[in-house]
Amino acid sequence: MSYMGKILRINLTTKEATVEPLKEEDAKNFMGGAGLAMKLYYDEKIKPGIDPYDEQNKVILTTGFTGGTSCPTNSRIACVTKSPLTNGVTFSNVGGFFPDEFKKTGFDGMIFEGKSEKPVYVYVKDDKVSFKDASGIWGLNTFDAQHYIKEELKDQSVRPFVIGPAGENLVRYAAVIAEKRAAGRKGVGAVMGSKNLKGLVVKGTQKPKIHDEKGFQEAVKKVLKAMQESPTLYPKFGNFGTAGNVENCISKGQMPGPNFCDVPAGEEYLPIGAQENIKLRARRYGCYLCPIRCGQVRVVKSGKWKGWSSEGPEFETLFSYGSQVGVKDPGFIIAADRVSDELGLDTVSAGVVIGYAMELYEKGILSKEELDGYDLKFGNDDAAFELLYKIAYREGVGDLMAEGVKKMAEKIGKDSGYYAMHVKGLEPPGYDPRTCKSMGLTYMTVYTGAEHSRGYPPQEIFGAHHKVPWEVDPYSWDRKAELTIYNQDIGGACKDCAMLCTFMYRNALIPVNKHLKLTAELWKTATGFDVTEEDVAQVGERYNNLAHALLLKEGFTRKDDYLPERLMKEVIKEGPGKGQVMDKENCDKLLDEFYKLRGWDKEGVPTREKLDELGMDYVANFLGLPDYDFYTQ
Amino acid sequence: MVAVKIKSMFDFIDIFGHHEVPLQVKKNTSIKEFIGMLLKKYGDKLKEKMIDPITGDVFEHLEILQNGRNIKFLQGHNTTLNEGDDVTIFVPIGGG
Repeated sequence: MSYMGKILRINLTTKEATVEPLKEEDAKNFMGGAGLAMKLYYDEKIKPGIDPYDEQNKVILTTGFTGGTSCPTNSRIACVTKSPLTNGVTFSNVGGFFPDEFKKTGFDGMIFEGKSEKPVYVYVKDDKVSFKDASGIWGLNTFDAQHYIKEELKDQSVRPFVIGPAGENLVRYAAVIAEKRAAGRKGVGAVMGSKNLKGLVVKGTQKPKIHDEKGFQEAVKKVLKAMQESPTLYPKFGNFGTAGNVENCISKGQMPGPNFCDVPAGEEYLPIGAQENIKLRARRYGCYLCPIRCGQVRVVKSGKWKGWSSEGPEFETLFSYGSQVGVKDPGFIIAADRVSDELGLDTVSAGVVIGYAMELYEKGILSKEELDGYDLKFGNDDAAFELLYKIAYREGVGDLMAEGVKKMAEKIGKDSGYYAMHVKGLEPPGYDPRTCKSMGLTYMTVYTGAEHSRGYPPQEIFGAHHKVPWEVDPYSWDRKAELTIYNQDIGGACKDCAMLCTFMYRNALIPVNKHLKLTAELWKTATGFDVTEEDVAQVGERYNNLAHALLLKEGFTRKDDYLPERLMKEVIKEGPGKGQVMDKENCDKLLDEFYKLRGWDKEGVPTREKLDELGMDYVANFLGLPDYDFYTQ
Repeated sequence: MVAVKIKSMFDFIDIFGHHEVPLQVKKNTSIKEFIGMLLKKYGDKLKEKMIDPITGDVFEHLEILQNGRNIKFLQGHNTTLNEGDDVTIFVPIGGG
């Protein structure tokens, strides 16, 4: 089967590495990637309530069953840990070339535990594990660290996955960088920093064994055919990249204005869209085994940011360093994106944090003195640029901003909490939920906090050709709970557990309703598991229920499942979405329906019946749920 | 007559010439009539991008918005145009 059958446990305290078997029932029930990592995290029995920087926290990396095979877009890796932003279990993922090399080491996953006394990086070459002194690269940015690791190992073909100064300095939204791609969100880099773990370096020669090679190649051909036939993938998406979403979202009133105020980004922000960005493109980039090549390497050709280049920025960064901070110059966004990657900062959280500080300054809640003398009005790109360094090194006001908006608001007090955009502590990406209600419900209910990727509703954002499971009006409330569950579970299973690229699914397989069928076909032929479309769908449901249960044990309740007050109170004033709001009453109704359809009670606690149905009675026991007799008495 | 604007993106800009093009149409012109008018004015280049040669209908993957709202959630191709309306035509691409 295409699993390698082994998990590597790396103890950073004792500098010991041990090999454990991959449990077949975990592979069957959770497929791989995020699902498998979540189950491994659960099995570690990490004490609820611990600080994410406590050495008891663990970082778990896993690949999918497609990793190392010929399936296109398979080079992705899942990272699961307890997030320093949310204090709950979280997930981040990254593509590029690192994930493919990871699988070649012969492991499906690696568990990092404990804490190294001194800075270290771990080098896994096939089954040989070395703990390397990282004191010589501690403090280096992510690009330089990768360079010197390769030089030190005298091997340019190794694949490092490293943190930068932001991770070392425990910025709560520090990223991990592989080549120039980021496992960006939710602070996985900071947890690595807390363990004095500068990075992981992989190289391998192992190949997964496909159960039914002929059948698998047939399934791969079907995926490639669907990609070829997609009306949006070639050449459009590959040509413009994710930036095309700027124009799309602006046209529908879905791109947030500065700090999610009541006026969304309008056409004045078109200069940061794909149409202008393509003029700055130097070349394209593709992850390993991806024919789409949506990555855009851009160079600023004029203006004050002339000469800066970056692999990106992607759509979310065009939002966070663009409309979120009131900047319309793509040059700044390219420069800030580059610097963030080097420092190892999540661009989404960093931009939302800076936009938040800008609003607090404009509202008089933070003074110029409190902001280290910056005249931090929206649009002040010079100040925003300098603040990125201050955040990464926790200098001056950067120390406060490194905490993320939730903790900033707790420290600042006054009325600052009202303007702090987050759910469960995670800053939102570039969609205004008032004009895409299912996205809003995903922000509310996804275990990671206000993020888009764990339940992305293409039906609301890319409307036209998305009729699966049904066509929706993004502004309507109708059947949005049902749609959100569909997207969370199907997305969870298909991309996060199979570890294939979301853009491939969204452009090629989902619109023609082949996502479940082909995922099942790939899984079955690769592994020999007798699985169906229903099994794939259930993997997603199981994974989301397990992650949710882990949050409940941390003390999360229904009250954590709401949008920021601003989005429930302020009605959109201008543009196509004029009059739209996600008011508390409708959010309550949506949440009630969501919980009910999920088989959870009114407080969002799964019922024993639902967990039994998913084969997870152990989770019911973990949550201390009463048994059936309780209900029948 | 009423003044309306076509707003286009990406490859449609090559056909219409600009992101925003002002046009005069009869009051209450339907989207269907408006598309017919555009096809007449911009010819085969537009037809190739807009019309599915198999069905003869507008491509399913094409987004047509009236003032930012997909016409599917208004009155579809019978949606009528009024003074100052924007009609946006594009293939939604991108990700995030």
